[in-house]
Amino acid sequence: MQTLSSDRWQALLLLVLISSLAHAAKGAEPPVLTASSPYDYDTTVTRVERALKGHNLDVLRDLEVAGKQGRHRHIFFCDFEQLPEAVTTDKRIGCILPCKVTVSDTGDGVRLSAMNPEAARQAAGIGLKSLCIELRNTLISVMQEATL
Amino acid sequence: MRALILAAALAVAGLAPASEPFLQHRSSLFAPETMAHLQTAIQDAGYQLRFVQPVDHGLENRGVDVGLYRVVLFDPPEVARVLDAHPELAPLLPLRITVYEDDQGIVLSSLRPTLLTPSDDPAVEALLRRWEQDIREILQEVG
Repeated sequence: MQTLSSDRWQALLLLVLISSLAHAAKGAEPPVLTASSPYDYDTTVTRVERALKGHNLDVLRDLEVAGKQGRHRHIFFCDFEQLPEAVTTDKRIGCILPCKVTVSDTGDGVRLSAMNPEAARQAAGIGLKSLCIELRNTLISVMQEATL
Repeated sequence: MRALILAAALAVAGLAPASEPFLQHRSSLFAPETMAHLQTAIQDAGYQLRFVQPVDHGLENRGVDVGLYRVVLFDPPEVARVLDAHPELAPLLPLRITVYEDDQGIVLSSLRPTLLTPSDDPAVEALLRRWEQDIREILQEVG
């Protein structure tokens, strides 16, 4: 078996170290926020809508996609308090509009999921960091309250 | 030493953005024609138009004028089958194209789906790449 020479070991270690730093620099935001619900599908949908309204968010509409093995309800909402600042600051923020939470019943339980707005903002390379972090935290609260 | 240089190059490559995060197209048409052409292009590509969110109207009702600002939401034709196989993709759907005005005219913009992949599954990555290519072609069709 061949062994690596000293300078190759150093190079390998340097690569691992810098790659780790690069990963950390990119941020550790998960792309998707998820939660499991102890309630059935319809009850979870109702609880999500109630939790959104409890955070002064406007439920715009919902949309259901049903397959052979499950169904998914997208609940679209908007924070009209934050929207003017967001859109006038950077119109590219439309990539996360309108916001939504999805309730999924895939036969092995009911789950909530939502795109993480801060992860999307980072991926898009746009500003509005504090607004997206606030929205992410609100989404986490909504999902926690709906599944409490 | 060669290995050291290679390591440094790979690390720098890891820090650099892979490519532009947005698929963008500047329309040469007026707003109503742009919206009509976009919706036709989406349907001609086999995608299912879900709805158009008139963000500009919502803002106008609150006294804010940003000009044209709509979000067009649409699903791939196989959406139900995709979600049966990959329910983790639900947060990424429907796909979106934002249409807005800037100083130079009308911009159509969509965040590349491959940037938000919630899975390492090669089948999911292939799907996202195909949707990304389809969005690129839809934008080109608008004119």
